[in-house]
Amino acid sequence: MDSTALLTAWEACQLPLLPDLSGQSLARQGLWAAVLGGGVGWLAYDWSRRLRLALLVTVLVWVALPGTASVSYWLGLAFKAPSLSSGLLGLFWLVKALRPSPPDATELAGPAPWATALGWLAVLLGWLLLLDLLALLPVALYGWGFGTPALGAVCLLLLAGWMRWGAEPAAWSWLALPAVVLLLFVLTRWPSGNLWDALLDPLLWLGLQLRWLWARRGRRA
Amino acid sequence: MALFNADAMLAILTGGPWRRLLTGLLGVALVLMLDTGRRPAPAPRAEAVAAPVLASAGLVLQASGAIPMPVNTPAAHASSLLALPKDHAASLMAFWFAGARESAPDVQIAASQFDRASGRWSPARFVLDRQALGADLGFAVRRLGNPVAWLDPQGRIHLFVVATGLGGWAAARIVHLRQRTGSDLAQLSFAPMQVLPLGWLWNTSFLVRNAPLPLADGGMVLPVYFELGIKYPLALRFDAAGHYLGASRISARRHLLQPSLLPLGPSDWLALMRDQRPDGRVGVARTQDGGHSWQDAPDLALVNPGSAVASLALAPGQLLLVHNSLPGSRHRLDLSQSVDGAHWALAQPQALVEGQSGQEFSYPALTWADDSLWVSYTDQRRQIAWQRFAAPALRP
Repeated sequence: MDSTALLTAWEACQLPLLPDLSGQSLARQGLWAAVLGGGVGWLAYDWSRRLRLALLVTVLVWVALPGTASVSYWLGLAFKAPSLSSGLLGLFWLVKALRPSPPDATELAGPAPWATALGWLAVLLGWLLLLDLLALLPVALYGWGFGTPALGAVCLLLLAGWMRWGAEPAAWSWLALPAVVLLLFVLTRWPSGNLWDALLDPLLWLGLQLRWLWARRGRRA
Repeated sequence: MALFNADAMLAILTGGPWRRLLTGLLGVALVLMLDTGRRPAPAPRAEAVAAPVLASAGLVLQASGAIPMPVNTPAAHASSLLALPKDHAASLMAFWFAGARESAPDVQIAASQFDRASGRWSPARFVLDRQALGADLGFAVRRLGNPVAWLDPQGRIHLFVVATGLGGWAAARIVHLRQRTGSDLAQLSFAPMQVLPLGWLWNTSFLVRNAPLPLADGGMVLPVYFELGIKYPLALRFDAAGHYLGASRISARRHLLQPSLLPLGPSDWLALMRDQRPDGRVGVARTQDGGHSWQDAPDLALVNPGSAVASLALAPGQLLLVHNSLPGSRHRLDLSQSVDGAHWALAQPQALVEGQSGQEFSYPALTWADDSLWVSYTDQRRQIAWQRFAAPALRP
């Protein structure tokens, strides 16, 4: 392969590959359904199963309603679409909400080192993307999210985590989350065609930092 | 058998660092293969369409007036002009936003076309409203504004509009639409193609204002800008079918917006920009590699009272700029010309329009159609005014 062909291939890897609009619309509704359903599961984890299911059905119906009657229509006005990460986390808690009994204490225990590392990486990524938006970085970080090199870098980071913690079964679900996000992203390009939007949305980013602040406050008390 | 036992399978895949490395690398390879396998072919190098060779002795005003407004619509702003092919019944089309006032809930995108046979603008009609756009997108649109039109090589009209989320212009997104029906104004309607993904923070605070720069490959470069406290300009590239090919930042400065692109050569372009500072001048940036990278250049000597500019290359060395030329006011709009894009002088001694202090004539648009220069601009936020200039050829 000569240098011209290499340069051509490199340039091709940087071009945005955007999902079609109809697919995006379906994905947006599905992601909001997962996030809101998961929110119900998380908030109401120790309520009676009947009440949890009733609330869950109400929320999911509200998302599925057509047009302006759907809550996702109005959430999209402000927040567009959740990330695939938020969707998968929401799905996790939604599935838990369907269980006959609340989760036991170990499922609600504090995060393990792999979860903490993932959380910190997400917070750092969010701050870098915010600085990029305000033109305070010397590189176009958001634009990198359309290309294969950024995808490769994230894959390698995930591989490092797999090498470090892959021997511990408790870490598998946490390592599986970004892996599934990456796989879903390359198959669908949801939600926007940009890798960073698939990995992290501003609400999840804010939520991670609020959770850390709350935990710190709890430790000081 | 062990292979059909999930626990055993997991043990095989994760047991020992070398196995984990192997499974990890296989996973990475799978993801990257799935990604690169779907990548489109790279776009050719961006080169601006060469301006026609037009050695003109000057511009002569042929006609002027106001473009008709939709019925019972008191406010208008931010027009965009689109030259139409020679076999079309109309010379050009104008798009603007109109309603009770800027940022009102009833604002829609209006359009009118200049009929060649009659030499008149058609009655205006609305071609896009926020409710229909929201229904097509699947999420609400709070306000509409700033339409910019482009004609692709297949003769389809593309429209880029600002559609806001929650929070006014600070929550602006750029929606790309393409005509759904015929291009005759009576049937014209648009279907969204994409909400352009330009930023991570809910994709907000990006706006469009000025005309795209046509490229030799049939695509174009659309000048846009970010506005949330700070402001900066960007250039977005599209291919001939209207597929988004990426963005480049035009200026490192954070007080420039609403870039207007001006080709000096195929890959040598200027971006002339509005300056938000109180004592601003028309800002300049330059690319010499077809928009791949940009460098800031010295501001023009032209005053810019925080007001939009519009530029057009009639020919190599014959560059035009419409701008508000008085400090702190938009009551005078001038047409200036330049050979090199750095030094400008008035193209004609009289202003395009000059009112009294406090009046506003702003947000100009320029295009070339039917061997004429067409200028449109906002007239007091109540209507869109237009002027047509002939360009008599220089005698040999």
